[in-house]
Amino acid sequence: MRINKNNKNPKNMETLKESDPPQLKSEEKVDMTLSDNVEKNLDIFKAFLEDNFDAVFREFKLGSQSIPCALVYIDGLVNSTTVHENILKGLMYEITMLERASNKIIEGEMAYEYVKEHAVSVAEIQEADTLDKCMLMVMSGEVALMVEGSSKILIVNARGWPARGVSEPDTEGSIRGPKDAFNETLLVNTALIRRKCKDPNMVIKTIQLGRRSKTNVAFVYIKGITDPGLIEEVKKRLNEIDVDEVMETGQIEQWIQDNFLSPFPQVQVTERPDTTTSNIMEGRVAILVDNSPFALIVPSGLNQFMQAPDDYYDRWIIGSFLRFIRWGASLIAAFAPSLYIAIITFHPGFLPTPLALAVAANRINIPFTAFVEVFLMEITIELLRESGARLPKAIGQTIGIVGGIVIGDAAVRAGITSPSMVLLVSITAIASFVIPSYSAAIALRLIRFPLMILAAVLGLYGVALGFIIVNIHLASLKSFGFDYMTPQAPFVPKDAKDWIIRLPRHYLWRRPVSVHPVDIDRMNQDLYKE
Amino acid sequence: MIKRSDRLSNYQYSALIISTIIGVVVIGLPRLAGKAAGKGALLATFLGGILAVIMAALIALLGRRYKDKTIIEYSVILLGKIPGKLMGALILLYFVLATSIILRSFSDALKGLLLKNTPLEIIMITMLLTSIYLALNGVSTIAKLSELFLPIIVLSLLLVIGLSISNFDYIRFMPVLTPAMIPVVKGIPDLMTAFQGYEIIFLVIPFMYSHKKIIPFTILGVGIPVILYTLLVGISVGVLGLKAIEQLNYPAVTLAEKINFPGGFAERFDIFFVFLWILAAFSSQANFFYMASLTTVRIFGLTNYQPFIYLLAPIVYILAILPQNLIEMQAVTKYTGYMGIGISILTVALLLLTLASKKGRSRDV
Repeated sequence: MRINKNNKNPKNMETLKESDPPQLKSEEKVDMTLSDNVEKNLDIFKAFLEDNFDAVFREFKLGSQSIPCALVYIDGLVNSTTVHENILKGLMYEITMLERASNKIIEGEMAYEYVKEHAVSVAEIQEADTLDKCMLMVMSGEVALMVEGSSKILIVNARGWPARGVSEPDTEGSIRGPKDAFNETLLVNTALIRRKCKDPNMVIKTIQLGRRSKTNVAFVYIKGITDPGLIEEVKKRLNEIDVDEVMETGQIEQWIQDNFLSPFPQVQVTERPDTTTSNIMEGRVAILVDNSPFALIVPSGLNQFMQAPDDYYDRWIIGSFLRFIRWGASLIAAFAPSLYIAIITFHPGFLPTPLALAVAANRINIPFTAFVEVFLMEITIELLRESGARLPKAIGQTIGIVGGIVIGDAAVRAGITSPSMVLLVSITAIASFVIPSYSAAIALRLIRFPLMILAAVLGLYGVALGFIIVNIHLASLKSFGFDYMTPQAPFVPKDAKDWIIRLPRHYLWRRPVSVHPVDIDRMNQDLYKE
Repeated sequence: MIKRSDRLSNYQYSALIISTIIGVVVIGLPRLAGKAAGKGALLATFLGGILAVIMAALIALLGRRYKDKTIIEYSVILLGKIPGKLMGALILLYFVLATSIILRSFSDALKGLLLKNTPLEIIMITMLLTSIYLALNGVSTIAKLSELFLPIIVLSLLLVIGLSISNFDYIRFMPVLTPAMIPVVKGIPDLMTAFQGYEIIFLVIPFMYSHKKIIPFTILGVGIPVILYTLLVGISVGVLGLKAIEQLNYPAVTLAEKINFPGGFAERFDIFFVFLWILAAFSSQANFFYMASLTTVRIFGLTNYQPFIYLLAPIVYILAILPQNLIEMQAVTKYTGYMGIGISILTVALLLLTLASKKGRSRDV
């Protein structure tokens, strides 16, 4: 296997020189070229893998001429039944029977071809003539089969490892929609997408990323719908990633996004095959990463983060109502605390007199200014949320009760905060949970802290300035060249049909034009257009 | 050159014009109209607006002939090098003055309305810094921001107008219905200054993606403020009366203050209105500021406008801090407004004449 040694950081080189001479040099001691001698080839593999307890080297003899053969695989990554029944049984037992039945003697160079064509009863086989390819296959769970007399190595697919079954989505529940979610095996995920779209034009391409992790990364699009420029851009950005390890879609996302300084997500993340597939059908590209139960969807704008699959499955009035609620919730989540601070501190006259008096009466015994009060409670809420995030479900509920009821009530009784404050902070927290996309919600939760400071310093003018700055930032953001705030900025009337209001299906006859799909129509318009 | 995605669509072009025109002047508009035209306030606002529409359309017509050039470049082509550059310098002066005046009058108004204890300098500096941030992002972001704010601003103005209808008193409205030619004619130039901002058409045309429908979208862009302003003046007269709007500093805020918000959710609607006015004032000021830096770049024939933003910001700030009191401010505002009208009339007339004579000559030959 090629181990990348072009270390560009001069500091790393210094530390290397100072320490003991580098030890991992085994590949330099052995000749890396494959030969037609099984023993030599096996030695190469052993040079790399001998120290591993899970590497299996199985030598055996083939047929009546006792041709030396060997299997190399990683135990745990292969299905042992396949290895026993479809590989070893055929090679050690059935081939001898065949020889006897046909009175043919297998020997010399024909052995390899014969093995390939008659003995291995597995559908997917490949040939490898370089050690690089062969080693990668073995490490991915394939079985390498060496036969004396051939410098090629037969790669037999016997992959099989313990995997989680398809389960319900954890973070994106749905009431009407399908209940399956991606899991950690790439092949299962691509199969879930294929099950939803049987179009032969749908292309699933893979590339390997990570110098050492060699993770399979697949990108999915539909030929004839997706903008070819977009596909090229995705390929280009994926190929530019040159790192040691790729563990999760989140890492890929951080490498391919346009503005890495922004708190806002520029790539949609979903664990739902139906969301992924319908986005692909709209002309977007999905990126799947092996070992990750999430798919990335590019390009994506803020509008997409406010959509949930149920909007499309339910009737349009209900879908539009839910969208309204979500956009409203996103404003509340980001701006409610700062507006509260501004109004209480600078402009109490804005409130109706009875309410202003009630708030003032509540606050009369509070030792803190509105800003400190809001800040303390917001931090408490964030602590509760973060503590509950990774706890087992049973304990998580306890945290909910302790946080919501005990702390809230006790804080008011202790005179640290006013009841109206607890109400505000709870509503803000709930509003942030309304937003379907976790990463968009957390961005909005984050920006409310600087907004609170602005409000405390400059009152309503500070909130307005904060609103302006957030809007400038959102307007300047792009996702793969796609404007983040479409369909509002730039205003695209054709796409605005599926925005805050989702029009009835009958009117959504075009794919979103801002993604520049090649094929724009998605329904038979004659039925509905007049 | 300019990337496709950085080009402006027709809607963005209109939004840019609307957000530049609707600005700091909104809250004082009825006073401006009342003072300048008296009984003719309503008609003068409307006619001043119509004149602004015509001017804007003429500028767009001129700009359409030179699709990839701004006024700075085509005035050089038409008038010769030195007069053309002088005209560019005049336009630059106007944009810089307008930016600083908007900045100053915004800060004055805000200090009076919301932040009585905050130093004026703090308001001005925070505003200017935010404008710098926007201007650095370039024309496509500015246009997108205009589109984001446009529905908020227009809807809130319509809301203020709509909710004020219950306070509308026909008797107060009567005077402006009587025909009075002289005050109308007197008031028109002053009211045309309320529509300043359409001058940005001189500069944004080369950024547009398509120039086919430029005239209708120019009319749309200037027409929406005309309708909104006329409605605002009309409703202010109807609710507050002619006398009152001449005396109040910010009649539109008073108008909003009188609104009884349905359901009693908010006692003082004016704060809500001021919040939205901040957005309008900002986008207008920032657009002028960006146009000033763009003009500078074009005069020197350079491509990168970003250094000029840092260069212009202190100049704008110093100019804005110079006027000592409200009276000086009002005078400066008035004359800068006249200068804007003068420049656009002069430019259009001069350029159209030159164009006509050149055409005539080429026909002779």
